[in-house]
Amino acid sequence: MHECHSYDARYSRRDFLTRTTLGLGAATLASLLSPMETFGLVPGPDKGVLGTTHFPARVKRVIYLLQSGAPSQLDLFDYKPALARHHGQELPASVRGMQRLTGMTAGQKNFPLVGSPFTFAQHGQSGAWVSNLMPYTSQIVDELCFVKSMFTEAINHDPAVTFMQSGSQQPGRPSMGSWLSYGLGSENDNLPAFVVLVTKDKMGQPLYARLWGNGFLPSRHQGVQFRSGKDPVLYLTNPPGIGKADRARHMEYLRRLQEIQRDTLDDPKIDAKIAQYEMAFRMQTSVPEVMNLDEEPESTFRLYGEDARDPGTFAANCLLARRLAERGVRFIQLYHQGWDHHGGLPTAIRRQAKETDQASAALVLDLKQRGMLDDTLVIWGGEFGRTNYSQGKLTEDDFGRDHHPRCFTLWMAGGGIRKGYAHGETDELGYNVARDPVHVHDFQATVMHLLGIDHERLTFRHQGRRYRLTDVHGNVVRDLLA
Amino acid sequence: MLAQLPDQVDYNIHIKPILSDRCYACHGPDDNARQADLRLYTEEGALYTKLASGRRAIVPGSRRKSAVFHRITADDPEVVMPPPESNLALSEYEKALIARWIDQGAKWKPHWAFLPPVQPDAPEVQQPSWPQDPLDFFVLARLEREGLAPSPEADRERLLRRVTFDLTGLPPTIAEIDAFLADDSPDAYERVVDRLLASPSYGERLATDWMDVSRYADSHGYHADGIRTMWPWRDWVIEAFNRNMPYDEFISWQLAGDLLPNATREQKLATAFHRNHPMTAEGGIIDEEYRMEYVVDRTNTTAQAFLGMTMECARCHDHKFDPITQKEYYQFAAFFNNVRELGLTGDDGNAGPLLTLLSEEEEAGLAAVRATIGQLEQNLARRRSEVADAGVHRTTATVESMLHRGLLDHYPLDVITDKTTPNRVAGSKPAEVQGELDVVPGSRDQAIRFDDDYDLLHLTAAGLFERTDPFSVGLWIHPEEGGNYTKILGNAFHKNTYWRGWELFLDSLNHVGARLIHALPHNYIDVRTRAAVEIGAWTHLTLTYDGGSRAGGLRIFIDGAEAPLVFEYDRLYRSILPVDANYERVDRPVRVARSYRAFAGNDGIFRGFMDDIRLYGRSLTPGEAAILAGVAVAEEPDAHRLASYLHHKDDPYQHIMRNLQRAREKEQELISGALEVMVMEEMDKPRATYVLGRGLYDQPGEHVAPGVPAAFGGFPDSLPPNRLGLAQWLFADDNPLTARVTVNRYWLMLFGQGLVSSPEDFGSQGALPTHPELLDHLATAFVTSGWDVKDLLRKIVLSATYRQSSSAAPTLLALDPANALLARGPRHRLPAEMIRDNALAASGLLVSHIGGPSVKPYQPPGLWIEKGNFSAALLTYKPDQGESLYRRSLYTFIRRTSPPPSMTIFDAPDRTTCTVRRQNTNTPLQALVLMNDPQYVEAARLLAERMQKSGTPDLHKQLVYGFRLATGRRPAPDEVSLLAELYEKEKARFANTPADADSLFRVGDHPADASLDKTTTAALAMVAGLMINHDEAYTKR
Repeated sequence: MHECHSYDARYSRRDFLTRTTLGLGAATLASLLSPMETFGLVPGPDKGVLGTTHFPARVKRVIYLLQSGAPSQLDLFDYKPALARHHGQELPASVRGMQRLTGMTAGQKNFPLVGSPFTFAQHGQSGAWVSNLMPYTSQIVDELCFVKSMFTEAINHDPAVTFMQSGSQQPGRPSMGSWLSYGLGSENDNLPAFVVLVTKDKMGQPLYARLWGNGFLPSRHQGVQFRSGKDPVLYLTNPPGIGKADRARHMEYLRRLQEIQRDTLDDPKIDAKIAQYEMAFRMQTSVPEVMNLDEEPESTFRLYGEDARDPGTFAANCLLARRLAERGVRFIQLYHQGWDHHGGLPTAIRRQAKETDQASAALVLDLKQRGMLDDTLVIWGGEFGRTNYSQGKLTEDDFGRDHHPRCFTLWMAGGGIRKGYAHGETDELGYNVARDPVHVHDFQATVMHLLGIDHERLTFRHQGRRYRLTDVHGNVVRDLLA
Repeated sequence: MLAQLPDQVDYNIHIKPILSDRCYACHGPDDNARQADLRLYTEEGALYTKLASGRRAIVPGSRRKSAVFHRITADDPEVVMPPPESNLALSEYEKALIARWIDQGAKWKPHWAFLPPVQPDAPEVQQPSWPQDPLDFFVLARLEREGLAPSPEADRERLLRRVTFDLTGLPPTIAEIDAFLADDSPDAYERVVDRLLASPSYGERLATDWMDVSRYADSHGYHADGIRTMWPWRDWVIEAFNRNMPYDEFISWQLAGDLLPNATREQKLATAFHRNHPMTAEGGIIDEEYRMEYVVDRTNTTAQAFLGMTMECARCHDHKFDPITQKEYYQFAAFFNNVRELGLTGDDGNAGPLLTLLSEEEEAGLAAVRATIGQLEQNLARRRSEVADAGVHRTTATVESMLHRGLLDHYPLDVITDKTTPNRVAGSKPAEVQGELDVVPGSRDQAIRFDDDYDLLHLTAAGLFERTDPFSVGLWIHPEEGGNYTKILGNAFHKNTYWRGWELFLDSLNHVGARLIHALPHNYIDVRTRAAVEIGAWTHLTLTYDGGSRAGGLRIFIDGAEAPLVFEYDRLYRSILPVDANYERVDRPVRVARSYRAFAGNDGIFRGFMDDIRLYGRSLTPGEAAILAGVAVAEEPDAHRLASYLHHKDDPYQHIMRNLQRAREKEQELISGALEVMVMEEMDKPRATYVLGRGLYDQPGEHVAPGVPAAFGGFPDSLPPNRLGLAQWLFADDNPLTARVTVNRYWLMLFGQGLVSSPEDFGSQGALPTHPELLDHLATAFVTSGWDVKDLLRKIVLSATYRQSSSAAPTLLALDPANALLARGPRHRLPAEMIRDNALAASGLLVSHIGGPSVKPYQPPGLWIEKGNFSAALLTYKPDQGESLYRRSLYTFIRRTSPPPSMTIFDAPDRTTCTVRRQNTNTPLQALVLMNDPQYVEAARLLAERMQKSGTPDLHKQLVYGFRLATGRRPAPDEVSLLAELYEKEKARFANTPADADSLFRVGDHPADASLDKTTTAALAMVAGLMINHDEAYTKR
């Protein structure tokens, strides 16, 4: 809301600059192109409101691979042989209880159970169950911590994904990435602290700009979407006919004009404006640089898959996430739509799995081989689970699964996370959590904990109240920690 | 540190903010959270109530006896308050404040904002020549107390620009600047202000802020986030500001215009204010859960916008800080809970209740045709009497052969071949079978059995009836299950057309229902039989409809006998023909044995048998219904004979019928294109409101009546317990909040910061007024003026306080960075709309036309489609062409889930909730917009052309002209030389690379002026870009 440090900055800037530098030259251009420290203008990157973390951080950054639409845990990770045995039989009323259903299946007269048509096997030292939809993930299970007992409160996508990302079903709260940007600041002065990547051309359940919105936090904490194509960040590219050197020249003249204004008006905010223009100019270099995969070796594409050569695919975004992580971006939020399989699940889930499996596993492996997995947290999962009964007609080769908030699976990998571990358990039909339930707020509290933050103490006062990501709930799930 | 303590510690200023923030969570108004039965928020509780320990929390004058003092100063973590686990703590300074306050007698005061404002006396000042308006005395007195002097008046160019932006949202023209600079009469500024207040742009400027408060948008907000049409309300707001509607009236209409006696169209239109909230159309959501969200939104918005209270905190539990109980929250919510509305709405389009907006000619045309219809209906009744009196019908029996007339489709349901079952009417299509239907013995011969959730029939190319078409349906049913909404047949669709079409069904009591629907929940007719049909037995049903769009025109015959009906709803005034998600006509088949509804848990699955379905393009007579059911008797009642005679034998009657149908079709045509806006409308019988446990829709508790929190004065019995009464309460003389909150918001609009810096919160956790007496002065003067907004703004902008220069010496800046003391004029970055409008105005592109549908200026491609494809109307963002690219930003289309980035980057909200204060940030993305957004690149090019056409070939003069257009002031010589220097460099480089100029000229739709030198325009465009990016262009100074 208010530019931090700008007041002090004014004087250091003045000390540094003398009137004689008004002549344009290579040196000035170079200073524009180089990081901010050249000017000593802004005291390094934004350190965040916390300054130091509440306790030692296990990770410095998060890559959140959000699978939008809610993948079926029963066909990927939550192996339920009993469900296969009761295939086609009615969901027992005793299991369903009084729980509410969505309007999409509440009107069904029958609720036939559906066993997964996919083959499950145990993998790795840890013996984790993964279906044959995820052959690459199967190979990294010993790096992963599965939470099989996730549950949420919302039964529909909009409130559920909003809940997952902001801790509230209603819009208006800051997203997790914004909270971390606010609390921890940035580790990079040329890139935003919170970057959003969306798989292109997917369709499916809608995304909302507010999912990466800052809510009531200062708007510099909102996620900045990096897009494939000509303008990786909105308005980043110069108009046609204006080159980089031209822009540098304009910037220099603008700066000189603004300095006259500042000296006339005694307003330190003008220095802050100058600084933001310089940051914008540097982003024109730093963003295309990080987006450019030309220098990635062949081995990278073998690891992530050929899709990674095609900007905007999930694989390319995973690779990009690694590159952003290397440059110190705090929170990298990916979205992959298309998991909302109310019908036609057997076909559709194959395609979804194929699009995400290899690159998700590659990201974990890549981070590991670069020594970055120790201080990065990778999260893979959707906004809720799917029902063990069929939505729509259960036929020999087709069925659908409705939304199911009562249980779902997500996995995490990275620093501070207990590797090769499966937490919690659902009942034998995969309908309710049977052991160690993990609420969305618990998950959020745990992520914050890994970043060294006490989720109860990172607050922002708004409308008279101290808000936090976890509302007034959430407990760190110690069992998930290494 | 103690030396810094105030001599006199004040409860409201010093103590209450601490108690509220650190102590109220456990010792505040929330009954359920209270610890140790200690009420620190009341004088009684804090000073006079004995605690379990036998002590009192606070004993005036004695720290030693005050438990509070011991607890806040304790070292022992088990004893100290607040407890460590609360993550709250008191600073040493705060502890010292509390101690001194106790020493000084712990004098208690009521919360300032809950006491009605009283006109204060103007304070004495040492510099009485400075004030221009009474308000200046309050500011000056405070400055003098702080040992500060006010700043000199702003220079004329900046003052004019400041006040022009503040009152019209636009920059002054050069002619206006020159006129003001040349005018040295003493009232020059005053006349400028009056000119601006009279300008039609004034209404647009005031409306822009009101759009934030009223969370106006052009889309629904949740999930599909489809299109809604609310702009006619926005135009009403502009108009209301322009004609300076008194604020009390302005708000009362918006809250309750529909409840005013003989409410006019405008008064009803005003109530669209409380239909601006987001709505969801996500399949599967629980209707009541979201309907309640809308009620909650109205409740919270009302509290926020008019009372400056964060009432939403009391939705789930008693308010933690302010004296608002959860029960009082729901009493307040009860005012807004009486709208006949849906929770689950359609992906695209307005949800009822709606107001139809027609031009005066259209209204007149409609009235004329309705008069004709009334006349023809009378003629029809008269003809019926004539025939009945003459008795000519008595020899006419109803005979089976009559049933061939008007028969459109006849499905005997005796056989299924190739997934179809035959239609016996020549040239008609067979019905299509879905699922595994069985042919079994039926009512008379074979019948069809539906025994699976997915068994159904589609009657293609059948049943496409308009509301003006008389029609009938007959069939046999043998339901095997009942007790739920069960569809028999019809083409009524699902939420995405607001269920348009007709249907015959059994309700949850197995009563037969029939509905003709344009849109739920407000535009349809719905009847139910008083009797239920038997489950497990054959029943014949005939539905007849006379084409009159009234519930009374529907008849249902059970086993050939007319069934007495209950009218559930009776207001149908638009088409019922099926449409697709784009509201284009479509030939949707009649669906049998299952509803098209699929998202709301009411699938209408029919289990059982059906036989012999017939559709008629006319209204069958009772005698015909009896024949269809096989219960015709030889001695037919006279009424049956009369009906059959009129329908089959009487030419005059038939003639009137044909004319009547033509008139009804004409009426349908006249109303079919009319614009509709979502408005408030009270249900005849108020809906019961309950306290909801944890705020959840499915946990109703105590039943409550409408009311307001006792702390705000309570709701008098003399007022009607509805929205109108609430509006009257808001503007009653003793309301402590409304006037203060309003003048504070307008102060914020002009100064960038309110006198209460938390305009959204006047409660315990809110900021205290920096100038309490000034606030009350403004509030009482506002009321006395008759809530005259223009008068209020006029007084403020004419004040010496407002006119001050905004420059701040470093010492003043260090002392008062936020300008709370008002020792200088306001300065801050302009709001998003003004930044863009300034560039458009400077370039000459701005189109000044007022009102109309929202427009779509340039936006980077792909932003809508990548977020979702549920809305057919808003699938992709297609920028407009021509004038619409250059309208004021107030008119830019707001899609909530993907709001225009060039606006949100400058802190424009996404309009999800009521916003009374925008952020004012400075980010690199803002620089990117101003440098690279085609809107600004194009504007710079047009500004370059305008400089060349300014009537002088002199470069410096052209630059001065351009700089004045962009920034409103003359550039200093060193600024001009920098601009000229850049120009020369650009000129040289474009001369070398002329193709770059061509590329640049292609940015934006507006063609380049070919008569101008290309290189010059390109070079000047670069310089113009700098002007638009200059601090002075987008900062109020």
